[in-house]
Amino acid sequence: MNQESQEFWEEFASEAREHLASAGSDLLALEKDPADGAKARIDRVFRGMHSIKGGAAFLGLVAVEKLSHSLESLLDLVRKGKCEPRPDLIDLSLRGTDKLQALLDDLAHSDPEQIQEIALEITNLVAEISKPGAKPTPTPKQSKAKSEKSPEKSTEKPQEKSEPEATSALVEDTHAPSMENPHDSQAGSSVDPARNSTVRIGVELLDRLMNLAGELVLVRNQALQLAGSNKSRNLLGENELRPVVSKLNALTSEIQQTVLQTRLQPLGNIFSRFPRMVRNLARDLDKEISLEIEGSEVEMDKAILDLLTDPLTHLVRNACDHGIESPRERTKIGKPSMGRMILRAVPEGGMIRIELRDDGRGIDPAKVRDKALKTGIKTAAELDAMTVQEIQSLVFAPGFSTAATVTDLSGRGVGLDVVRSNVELIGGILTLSSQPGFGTQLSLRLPLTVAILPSMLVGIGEQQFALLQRDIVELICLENGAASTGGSGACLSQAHDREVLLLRGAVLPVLRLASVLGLGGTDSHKGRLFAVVVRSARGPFCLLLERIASPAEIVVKRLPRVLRYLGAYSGATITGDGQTALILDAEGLARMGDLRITRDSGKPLSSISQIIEKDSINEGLILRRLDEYYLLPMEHAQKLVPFASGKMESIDHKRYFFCNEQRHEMLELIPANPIASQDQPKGLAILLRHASTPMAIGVDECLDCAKIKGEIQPLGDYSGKIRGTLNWQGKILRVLDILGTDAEKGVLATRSGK
Amino acid sequence: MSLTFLGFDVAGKGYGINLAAVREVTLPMPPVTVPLAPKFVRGLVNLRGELVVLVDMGFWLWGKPSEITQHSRILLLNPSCSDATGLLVDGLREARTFHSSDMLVSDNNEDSTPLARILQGLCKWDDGVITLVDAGKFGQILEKAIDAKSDDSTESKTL
Repeated sequence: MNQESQEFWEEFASEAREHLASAGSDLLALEKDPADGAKARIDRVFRGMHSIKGGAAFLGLVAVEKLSHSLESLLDLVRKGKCEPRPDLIDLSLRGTDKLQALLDDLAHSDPEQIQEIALEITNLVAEISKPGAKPTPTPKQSKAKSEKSPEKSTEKPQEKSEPEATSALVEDTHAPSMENPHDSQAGSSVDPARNSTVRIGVELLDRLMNLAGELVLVRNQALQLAGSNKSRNLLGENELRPVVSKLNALTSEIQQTVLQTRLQPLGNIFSRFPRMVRNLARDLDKEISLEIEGSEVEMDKAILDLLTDPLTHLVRNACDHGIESPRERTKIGKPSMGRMILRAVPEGGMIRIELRDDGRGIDPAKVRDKALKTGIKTAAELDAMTVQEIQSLVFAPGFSTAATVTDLSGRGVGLDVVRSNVELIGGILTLSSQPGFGTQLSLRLPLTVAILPSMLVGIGEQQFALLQRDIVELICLENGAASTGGSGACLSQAHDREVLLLRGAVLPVLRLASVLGLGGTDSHKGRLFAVVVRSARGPFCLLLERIASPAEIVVKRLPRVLRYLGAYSGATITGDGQTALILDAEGLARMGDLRITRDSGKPLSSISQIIEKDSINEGLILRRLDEYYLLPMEHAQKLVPFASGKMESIDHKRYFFCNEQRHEMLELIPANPIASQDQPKGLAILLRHASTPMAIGVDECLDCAKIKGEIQPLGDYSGKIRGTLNWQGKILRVLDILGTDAEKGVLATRSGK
Repeated sequence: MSLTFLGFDVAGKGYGINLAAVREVTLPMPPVTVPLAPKFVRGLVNLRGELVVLVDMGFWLWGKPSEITQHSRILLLNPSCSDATGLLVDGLREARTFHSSDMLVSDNNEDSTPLARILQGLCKWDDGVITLVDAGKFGQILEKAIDAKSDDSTESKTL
């Protein structure tokens, strides 16, 4: 094949894929609700197949042409009202589009033999529908609607003689595009005005244009800097120079934005594949899964979209495969049989946040912990110092992904570490939060574009660095270690043996940039310092700097490969004065600062996020036992198990709950009315963490998993199991105080009994 | 077989590098220091928009920073040898072609000294001898050296 043919084929495949994507969505919508705009949808799918057939015939792609023609004929029966869009027809059409997609992926080896099977199926279905006397097979919904309206209309006349011809055409007529069919020509000539107003441009050309726009931004920055200097003012006179530079500034910004827009594509381009994928997966796995998509119209750079497709596909597959439980399992634990997934994109402060939420089984931190220990990813001491979220996030650690089915995200060929590294490669941040028994939420924060990014120029001595604005949460000026202005009340302090920043009740670990980069510096709080609160996957931290220069839009240049090993920099840029500035990598700095463990003393430092949670946000399970409500901190909950899936037994005056071949000693919240005294209680057992012997508490139900802001009001008379109370939706929540040591000794039970 | 080598000087001694491995020779420009990089990395230079790692050959070979003078030059290596790497040398000689029989080839590259690791052989040059360096090994050796350095720095920064 010569280069010209190759180009034709590529262009054809690209167009055909668009048609197939649109056809997939329409067919799925029809499957869900056959009455919802059926005619328009079928027409659209039909036109798509028709266009594919025409293109394939022109290029001599026989297999594609044959199959699209078959599908076209099948859909034509629906168009002509000879059949309703019934499930088997939709399913076959979807499988046909799948096959077409596969052919497009390898056009060079497409062969009519590859489609024989599916073509035969279509032929048979068309023959069945076209059989004289065959009646449309309405879907139950339509049948009902029709019977309500006019029952007589459902009676169809026998098919006319053209139908058998149409059937034979599926097998024999492959080279007569469509002229014989007036519907075909009508469909083919239907002109979409929006389509004529667009031009296809190669991505390479757009890349070059983007690079040039980037260089223009740099020149603009230099011109702005020059115009601001005294020398140029004297040389040209401020009045002459300022308008020119101002115009250059405005034009450059506009060109940059316009060029950026040419590369933007709606996220719907990749989101559109997921309903189909989820449907197929649900069917294969015998599950019921609904996928809701929000924000398809949000746009991102094509380069990012391309790199995002695989990681997102991987995450959606994992959520279906391992996150959502089987309908039986869900019903058993009181969940609706239909699992729910939400894929949502929202613009957020110059970036895009993509969330994938499911209401599945979540990630069991205990199992992740065991796995991490077994595989040697973390030591027991390191794990003890980690929050639940940090432990759960270990599913992204290299070497973790090949696990069997320990988490709702494991067990796929490509590791989740690859997903995270791909997301980081495009400048994104991937975070995870999961509530065992309730579901998982994955959040990806991504830049709109990778080429030009807003940033803050900062400095140590003469050296200049750039910090991307997406990494910056807050900027505070400190005078002698305390905030000079504003109501933040921020101040530097010491916790254990490390420097921290106290900010509105939160405690953030401090990294002094100078010392992390080995540029000297002291631990002094004297004089003026800038505290930059930086976000990272390990949680926020404070970067302490000597100098903040200015905000700037920077053109990101890649670092030479050998320097990427350093880990502290994600790239470099040329500043307005022509100097090179290294771009700081927030994740890398957090890693280098090792924000968690004090190795000197060998003791784990309470993780900072735990401190924050304890002081300001109380995260946990909201439980009900009789008419009392409790908050169980997340770090103490290991798993929620319905009593029905285990057995209660008495041994030596103690009650034990047996499940998963393990015995759990029962602790009572209300000893006067023990739940464990029932032989088969109706509620839930909550298996506790931090206990050397397995223990559980019994509740009637688990209402929610929530983050509740506010200070815990301590009780005057400390009961031994209730740390204090919180208000939650007008109810009093008793905050359970189950420390590891207490639980191990069964103190909860004895104290509550006193 | 004949090979053309470009002669250059570092710390008063003569060296040669395969001419095919050199993409460009340029005048030195002030580099930007890269904190945490090994000391033989003098910094980053901006070569018409491309960022290049400047390896100080004086430090690499003799542990002493090169002084930048009017004779100093940057030998920019071909990407096939090392990605975006420039060698800072004290001065340049001409390019000469040698037959393989004129070269004394080294087979001692596993030695741990910096020179030995890139040593390709020796060759007679006028009245003296020059050391031929293997440009193909630069990229790999640089990466290893920087990787090791970054491991060290991470360890030392642990709080």
